[in-house]
This record gives sequence, structure tokens and C-alpha cells, in this order.
Amino acid sequence: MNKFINLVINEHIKIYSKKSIWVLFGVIFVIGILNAVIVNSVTKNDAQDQWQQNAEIQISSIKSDQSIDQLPDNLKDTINEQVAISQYRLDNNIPPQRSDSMWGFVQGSAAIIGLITMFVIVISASSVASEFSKGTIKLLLIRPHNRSKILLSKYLVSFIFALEMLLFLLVAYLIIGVIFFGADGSSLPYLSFQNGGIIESSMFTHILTVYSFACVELLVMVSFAFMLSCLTRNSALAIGLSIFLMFVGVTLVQFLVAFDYEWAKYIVFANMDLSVYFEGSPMIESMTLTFSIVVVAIYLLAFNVLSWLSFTKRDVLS
Amino acid sequence: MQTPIVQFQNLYKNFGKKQVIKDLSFDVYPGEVFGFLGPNGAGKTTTIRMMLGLIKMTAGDVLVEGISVNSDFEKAITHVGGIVENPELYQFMTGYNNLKLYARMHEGVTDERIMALVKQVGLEHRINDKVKTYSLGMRQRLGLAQALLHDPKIIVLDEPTNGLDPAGIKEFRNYLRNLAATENVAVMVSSHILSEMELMCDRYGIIQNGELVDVRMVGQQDLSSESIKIIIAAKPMAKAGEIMSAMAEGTSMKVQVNSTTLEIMAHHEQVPGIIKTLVNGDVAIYEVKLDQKTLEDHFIELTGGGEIE
Repeated sequence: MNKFINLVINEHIKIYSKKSIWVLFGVIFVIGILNAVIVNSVTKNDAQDQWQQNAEIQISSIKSDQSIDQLPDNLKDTINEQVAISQYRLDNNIPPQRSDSMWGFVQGSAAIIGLITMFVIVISASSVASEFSKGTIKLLLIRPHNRSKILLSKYLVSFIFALEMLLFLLVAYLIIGVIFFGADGSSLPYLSFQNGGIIESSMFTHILTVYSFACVELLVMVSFAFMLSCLTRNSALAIGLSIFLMFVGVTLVQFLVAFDYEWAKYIVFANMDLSVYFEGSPMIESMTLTFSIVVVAIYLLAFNVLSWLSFTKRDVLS
Repeated sequence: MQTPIVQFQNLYKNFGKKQVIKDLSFDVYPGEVFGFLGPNGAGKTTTIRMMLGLIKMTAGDVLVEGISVNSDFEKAITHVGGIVENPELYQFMTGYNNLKLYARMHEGVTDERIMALVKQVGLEHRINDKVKTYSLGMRQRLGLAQALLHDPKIIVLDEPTNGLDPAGIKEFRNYLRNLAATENVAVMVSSHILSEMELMCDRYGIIQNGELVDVRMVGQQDLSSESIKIIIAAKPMAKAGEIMSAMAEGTSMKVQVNSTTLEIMAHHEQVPGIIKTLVNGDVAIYEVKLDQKTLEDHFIELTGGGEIE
């Protein structure tokens, strides 16, 4: 066990020994600051103070709009939930969280998770492949550790790196939020529509929930990029292919759903975002939380088995 | 004879339908430098990679200290240190951090051990620089240090002198010889540069088209039976030629007189007699040379110039 932890430590050191890794963290931090500057200047004299008026306009305009009836069911549900939440705000006098408050700003960090996914794909895709590309795989494999353990250490560290990036994003936004908008710990409750009713929860719980769902998505993407890394043994190819297939996959799913192809629900990209079962609605009506979990689990298993077979069974000739 | 450190046992490897290694069997002993020779494409690298677990064996096995690489890889490989072709280390890390990385993968490698090795391979001034700033010679030294970290019983080097300059090769050779002699480590070196192997190795095996064609000691030659070429530089040449022609008459000895040398085909034990006769005949002898077969001659003879099937 001790021996295995050393492998994990080694892989972690390899990632953080590259100077370029700090650029990724730097990019996130700079985006956070820019984000804060923009929020600061834009929200100075906007309409957030007149939220009651805005909510009433929103509700009445939706109710009077006949065309909503022709929308697909899942869109109609989403709109109705929005209306219910706005109505609840008016009834209980709960204004929406201001975007120029600390918690409102941290909530906005969720938009950066997509960027983190890209970074994590790059790191996972090069994990195994770069050892082959650079030839270092030979000196790595002639150690008293079998290939399965070496592969597992690399896989774990790729996911640990994803978690570290998420944690960095959260902490960076908290710090920037405090600096720009003050350490106002008090937050307005976050409202969500669940099981036919409005639920109040704390902002921090809400943000943690968003990050937890992001972890599921990241785990799928790590496994996917990692598999391509093992199969291609070429970092450039693995990185390019993972990012390309991710975009194609997500777009393809939306395309198929738009044209009512029910079987799109068996594609992993349609199931990665589990948050839709708690807020909003799934892409295809027949999908359930259990269904998505099973689909994701099967894909994860397939990705990892392919990685393992490719890494442990093939000869190292490079 | 000692017990061998490594035993290659009826090793086979197929790539698809092509059989690249056929029934390879030989042993390597502690304290010797064993040269593994063969033309390019003969299967040297494939054999070494099978021993290191980088390539799966189709049939047969390699035992290290009696432990099977096939069935108990982790245990067998603890006794082995290796450099496969040019040592490819992590360029974005310092030499020291590279060694630390490998040390963590073995048991009981202390920081003192690492520093001692760094000194031994003469890298102490550059060990905290990134590997990407190293010359090939320095990488080779660092490669040696990583191969020796865990006190292996055998180190395997695949084409280690590729790209080294003559001074680097000489230093490398002396280092390996010294290692085998003082630490009783077995060193197995593959190469196709024969002159170099002749200086470095105690024993060598020649492989061609995946088959072992010969294993013998360096310098071992059958001196008793065959006649060898003896070259003598003497003055005056005409007189020496006469004396030798007279001596050769009626025997199997053959004499050829050149402008400054005599070339005599004779048996090894006849050499003192020849010199004595010449001296008695008042011929001044400047040089006597036995034209022994070199490793290269032997290699070409065995492999027929090294055509690849």
C-alpha cells in the first residue's frame, strides 16, 4: 500500500513539475478578477433594486404569451418553474441574490467549470500518452510495480487534479469575492423547484451541489480522455481527439434530441449532467436519475476496461 | 562454474506471423560484462525488452536470480537495473528530482545513496539543473545512476554508447568494467559496434535473425590446431627470405616475402623456432606480430556480413 502511495505521489509531482501547469491556474485566477471587475462596473446602476417590478413583468408576460403552449413539454416545465420561483419571491419578499455580492459572485464561478473540464482533458489525455511520446515509459515500467498499479496511479492522479482545479476555482472566487464585494457572510436563500414545490436552501449548499454534479461530469471526461491516451499513445492525438469528440458528442446529442431520436439517451454525453433531475428537466422525457446513473456507470466501466487492456497487454516498442 | 544471475530459457517471440526470436537460451554470470551482439534487426532489443517486461514473451522464460520474469515480474525486476536505448528521463525536472522519482519506486533507496551515485557518475555539479539542459553524455550518466539506485544484481544496457563521443565511450566502458569487477554486478550490453564490445566485454553472444549463433570468451581462439599469420619486420629482407624459405621447405609452413615484412603461415608453437633461426642467421628483427582474428572477423564469419532475413 505504501508502495502504491509513492506511485500516486510521483504522478502528482510529474504534473506539478511542469511550469505550464501554473499557467492554467493563473488563467482561472485572471478570469476571476476580470469577472469581478465587470460585475462591479456593470451592476452599479442596473435594475437589481427593482426586482419586484421585474418579477411581475416576467410573470405577466409569460402568462399572456399564447405561443408557450406550443413548446415541447420539458421547456414548458422549465418556464413554469421559473414563474413559480418568481411568484414565491414576491409572496415571501425574498429578493434574488445580487450578482455584486460575495455569494452572488461565487455562484457565478460555476460558468468557469467548462474551462476546467478542458484543462482536465488536456492533463488526462497526456498522462499516459506523453510517457510514450517522450519515451519515458520504458524507465517507468521496469520497476517493481505491475502495469495495472501504474495505470491506476495515473488515473487517480488525473481525477485528483480535476478536484484540485475545482477547489482552486472555488477558493479563488471566494477570495476575489471578499476583496471586491466585502466579506458579507449573510446570504439570501437559494430557491429551487423540486417535487412540485419551492425549496429554500443556503447559497453555500447550492454552490457545493453544483460543484458535486460537476465532479461526475469531470470523472466521465477524465476517463474518456484517459482511454484515448492509452489507446493512441500519442499526446497530441489524444488531446485533440478527446476535445473534438467531446464537442461533437455534446452537439450530436442536442441535434438528435431536437429531431426526436429517442436513442440519443443512450449516449453518455446526454447523461453526464445529473443536476437536471433536481432542477430543470432531462433532455428526453423518458430519462430518469437511475437511468442516467446506470448509463454513466456502464460507460465508465467500458472506458476503464479499454484503458486497462490497452495499457497492460500491449508491447512497448517505442 | 558460478550460478548464473540471468537465465534465458528457450525464448520465442512472434510479431504476428513473423518469428523474430527463436529458441534463445543463454546465461549471464555475476561479475562479468556480457556483450550481446548482432546486426541491426537481429533481435537484440526485442530480447532485452522481453527480459525487462516491456515486451511479452511468446514462449519460454527469463529467470533473474531464479525468479521468473513472466510469472513474478515485480520480484524478478527488483534485481535488474536498465537503460533502454538513450535514457529518456523527465526533461522538465532536475536530474536530482528524476532520481528521487525512481527512488520512490524502489524500497530502501536513501538520499545518501542517491548522492553517492551522483558523485560516482560525476554529475554533482549539474544534478540540480533540468535534464533538458544536459548533453547526451550527461543523460547517459544520469541513466546509469537511475539504473544503479536499487543495488541491482544485473544491469542491462541496450545500445548504450549510441551517440557518445570517443572520450565518452571510453569513460563509460571503464566505468562498466570497474562496476563488474568491484561490485560483482553482471553487466549485459547490447551493441552492433564490435571494436568497442571487444574492449568492454569478457564474454559475448552473437545473435542473428533471432537465433543465437555463438557464445564465447573475448580473445578465445583455438591456437593449437589452425595455422596463423606471423608478420615479421626484419633486415636485411633478402637474407631473411632465404633463411625462411629454406626452413619452410618440406613443411606445411608458407612464406611470403614483401618489401619490408615477411608473412609466414605457421602453427603457434613454431613461432620461437622461427625467431631463433632468423637471429642465428644474423638477421635483425624489428617486430614480430601475430595477426589474430578480431571479434569483427569472427562476427563477419558467423553472420556472413549480417544480412537480415
